[in-house]
Amino acid sequence: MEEGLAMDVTLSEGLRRLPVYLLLDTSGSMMGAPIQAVEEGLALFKREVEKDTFARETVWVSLIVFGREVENLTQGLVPIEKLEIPTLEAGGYTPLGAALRLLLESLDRDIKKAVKGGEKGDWKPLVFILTDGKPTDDWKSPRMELLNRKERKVLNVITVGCGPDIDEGTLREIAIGPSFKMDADSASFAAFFRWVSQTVKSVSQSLSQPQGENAPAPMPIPPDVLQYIP
Amino acid sequence: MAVRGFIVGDRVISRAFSTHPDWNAGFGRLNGFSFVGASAVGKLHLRENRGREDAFLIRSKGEWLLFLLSDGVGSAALGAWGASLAVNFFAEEFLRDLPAGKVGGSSSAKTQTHRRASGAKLTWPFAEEEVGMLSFYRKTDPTDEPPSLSAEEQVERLFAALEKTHAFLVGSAQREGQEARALSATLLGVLFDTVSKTGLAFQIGDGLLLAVNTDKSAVLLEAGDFEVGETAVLTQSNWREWCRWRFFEWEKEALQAVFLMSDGVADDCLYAPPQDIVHRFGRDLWREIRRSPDEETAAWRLLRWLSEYRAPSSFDDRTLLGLYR
Repeated sequence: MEEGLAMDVTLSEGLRRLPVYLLLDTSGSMMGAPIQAVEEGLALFKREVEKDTFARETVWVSLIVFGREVENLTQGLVPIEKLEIPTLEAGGYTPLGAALRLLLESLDRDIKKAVKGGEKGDWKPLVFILTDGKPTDDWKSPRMELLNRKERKVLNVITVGCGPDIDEGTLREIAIGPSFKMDADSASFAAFFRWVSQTVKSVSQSLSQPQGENAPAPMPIPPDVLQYIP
Repeated sequence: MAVRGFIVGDRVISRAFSTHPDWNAGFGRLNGFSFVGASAVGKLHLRENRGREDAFLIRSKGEWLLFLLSDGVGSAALGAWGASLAVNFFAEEFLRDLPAGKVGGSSSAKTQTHRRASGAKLTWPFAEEEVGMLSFYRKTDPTDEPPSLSAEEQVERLFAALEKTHAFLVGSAQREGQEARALSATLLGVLFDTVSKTGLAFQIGDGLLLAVNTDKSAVLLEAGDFEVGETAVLTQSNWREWCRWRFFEWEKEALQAVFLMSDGVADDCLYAPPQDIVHRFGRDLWREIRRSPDEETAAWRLLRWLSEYRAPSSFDDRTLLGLYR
């Protein structure tokens, strides 16, 4: 700028993050091509989100897997640029309830509430759950806890079932927002992760909304491979 | 003789097509008090080929100065329209029949302007076509001095104007076949009497009213707690529950400047780090404003700064108005 005309004003260095949780089924039935497709899908998700200048600045990701082990692979939230794509191993049952409990733990520990003079708070988190079967543990109690939260409230839990063995009713019940089903081939997984990255980019650009807009964030139209479960 | 006044900022825009400028600024002086206002489209709206959805207005009537700022948070199609309607309709309602008083002797004292530092050419690189506007108003002759408005009368007038503006916005949305929320808009304002040097500040929604005095900068008015990404708006039926207001006295509170800003700026000065950010921001802003040789230069500098500064996750439209002495 013209010399002497630029303004030098202290600004906040705080960052408002969009937390994105990916809960991924790694049970025994995902062995082989499906788990490989999930890994490739994660890499695609990272590439696509990183390309968007706004999303790159705001999106932080947490990966929770549930199968033989239930684990938060990122140990909380990490910036999208620092997300390392894991090697996933399929085996065991489908303990979705335990995964939801890890999600709750992270929401309590890692999501920041806005405090004037203190920290900038985070946007409301986006949660995506990908599974190919029915849960094999108690998922209703943690899901109720998720729904009843007043602090660090979650408005968007999108469930996607892949393959022939899904339970549509359960998927619908777990979701806070839309629920989908798709085939378990690699093209469907790729389309799913591409849509997740488009959704994340779209929500990362959300600005203020009138108060009380307690509705899931608007999302891009999903691809044909994702069929909405009414 | 009719009392005259001036108007600076965003007028009501066409509903058929948008005439809202992407960058707008204004400046002036009344009775020894200076003011600037500037509003810049944010990076997000630029990228999406959407217009600016903040609007501001600074009007005078006799000795009074009225500052207004609105953030349109309704539908993408009607956000700017809602904000420009909110500030213009409210101003018209509030100032109608307002006892204007007389402009004091100091307003006619001098018309001298400071010369800009040589070589400091002001350019505007963002606009594809450099289209601007220059408007000026004649001096106001002194009139007979009517009784001033009491504090109670000011508050009564404030709520009456807000109620009418609420009804107007809701009605306008309905005439477009839309729900009221399509024209949702916040509204922040200051009515200032340049003779008694007292003011009434009010706020519905997010944004910030900041006071700078000789000791420290501090929030002038607490807006209320909002969840991240949420705000209160004038179109909601319970807007009264969210309306905050207070009086202030320029000399008693040792004020040097009062700033109004939309959340596109407030979000960058309310949160640590660094610690004590509110004070630092106000101190720096005041220093930069008064470093300007005149109000016109201050307005240009402010507009450029709002357009260009970078802060983490800061993509929204930015509007800031200042009253200072």
